Amino acid sequence: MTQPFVVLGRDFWFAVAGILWIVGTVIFALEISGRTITRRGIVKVDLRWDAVDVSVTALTAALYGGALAATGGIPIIPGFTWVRPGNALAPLFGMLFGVPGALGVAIGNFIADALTGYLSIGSIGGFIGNFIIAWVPYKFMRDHSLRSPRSLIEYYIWGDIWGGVISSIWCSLYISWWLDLLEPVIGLPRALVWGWFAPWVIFNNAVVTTTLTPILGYLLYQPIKMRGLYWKDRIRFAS
Amino acid sequence: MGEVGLYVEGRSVIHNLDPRVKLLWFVFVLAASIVCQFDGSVAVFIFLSLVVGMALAGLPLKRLLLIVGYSIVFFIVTILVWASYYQDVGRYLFTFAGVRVTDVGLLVGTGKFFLIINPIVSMLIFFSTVKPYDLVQVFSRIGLPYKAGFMLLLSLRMLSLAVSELRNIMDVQKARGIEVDSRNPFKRVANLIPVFVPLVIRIMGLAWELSITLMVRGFGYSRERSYAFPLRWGSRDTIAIILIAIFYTGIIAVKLAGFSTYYMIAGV
Repeated sequence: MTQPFVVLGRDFWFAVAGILWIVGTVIFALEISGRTITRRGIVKVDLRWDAVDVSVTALTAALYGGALAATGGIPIIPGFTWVRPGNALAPLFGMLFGVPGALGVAIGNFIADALTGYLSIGSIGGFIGNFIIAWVPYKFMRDHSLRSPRSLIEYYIWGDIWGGVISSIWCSLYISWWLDLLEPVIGLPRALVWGWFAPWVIFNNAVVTTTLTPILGYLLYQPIKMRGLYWKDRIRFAS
Repeated sequence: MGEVGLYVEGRSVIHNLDPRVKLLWFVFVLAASIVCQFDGSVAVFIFLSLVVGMALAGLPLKRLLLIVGYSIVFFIVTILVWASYYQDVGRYLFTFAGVRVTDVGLLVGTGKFFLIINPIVSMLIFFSTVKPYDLVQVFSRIGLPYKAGFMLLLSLRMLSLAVSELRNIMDVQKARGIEVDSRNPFKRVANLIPVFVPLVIRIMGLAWELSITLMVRGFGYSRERSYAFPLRWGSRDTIAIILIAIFYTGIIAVKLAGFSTYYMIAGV
């Protein structure tokens, strides 16, 4: 897992992650301000942050933060590697609830950091990094039901193929770049950031999002849609 | 966990301070830790000031020990990685895990450790002593839309419900013979599916009720939000911020002047 980071070196990953960081931050700002990128360019989204959107965001944040804190840290190699099953909910909330769900994931991660006592400057990177994990499948999948071959193929392409490449690697590189850039402020050695942290985040996310998320999505899509909370039933793009 | 999220109910001197004082405290701690990051023998005083702060707030020091203890391997590795960069600089002390630790390496390693842990402890004090209601006001005062702060507040309010539902569902599934706390990590992860599914359905089932409650209370009606208990800056807040500023700028000043506790004690 650490091999690509060791072989290609810190400078390579810093440059790649820098580009992904800028793109991720721009996307986050656009989506929160009610705009989104489509094939027709940047268009407005009918997202008013009304009571329903705020409720969905708050509930997903509470669920994600609570799940991360309560089920976090199942050790694979004690003291070194552990998985957080709560991560499986991140792409799921993006797929089911759209931008409010993705923002809920970001806030939930922030809350989990606070609950476990690791809230610091680094958490800002984690905030947007987790938003991206939820945003990628929300944005690039057309069928979020996970009940058809097409939907599953789309999920594995955008959510997880190549060991969690698209969303998990983007999230990992986003946070790692932030930690590297702010090394004089955060204090994590760069060797540790790229040699341990980045591969660990990818591993951690990939394990649960490749296995748990599709099953959870399959089981939860209908109940959420029946309750009228599926984002496509509520949110419209401006023509 | 306190009443709501991380907040611990209390009437201590730290609890009674304006949240903005505690936010500025965090900024001072961060600034001082950055300046002292190459000298753990000075950075330790910032850490000790936070331990005093925790004691004054009546927060159990067990919380602090849990944070350090949970990631002890990570912290030791961090200190060693930093120490390894300075293997050939300074006076040799000992060899640990193949790393030749010198006094300079140890000072940098511990300084970086405190750079990581000090802001974390400061944030821990902030969230443990600031009421979630006041958090929203702090968000508004620093220029964020009140909806952003409100979302965080609502999330924290719902958090205790989500965690208690999670525990209830886990207990129910355990009673049904599902090993949600199996020793096999893969089995344990897989067994969370029958926990997460009812949990998400139950909690998200509240979304409409919650939004109707917000709507009938006029949520979003006005761009500005009013507060029943607005934050008030008092004289004790001014005194506290002056003391905090004196202490941390003092540390920054002596460090920038080249002072090091270690070199003073070692007589180098």
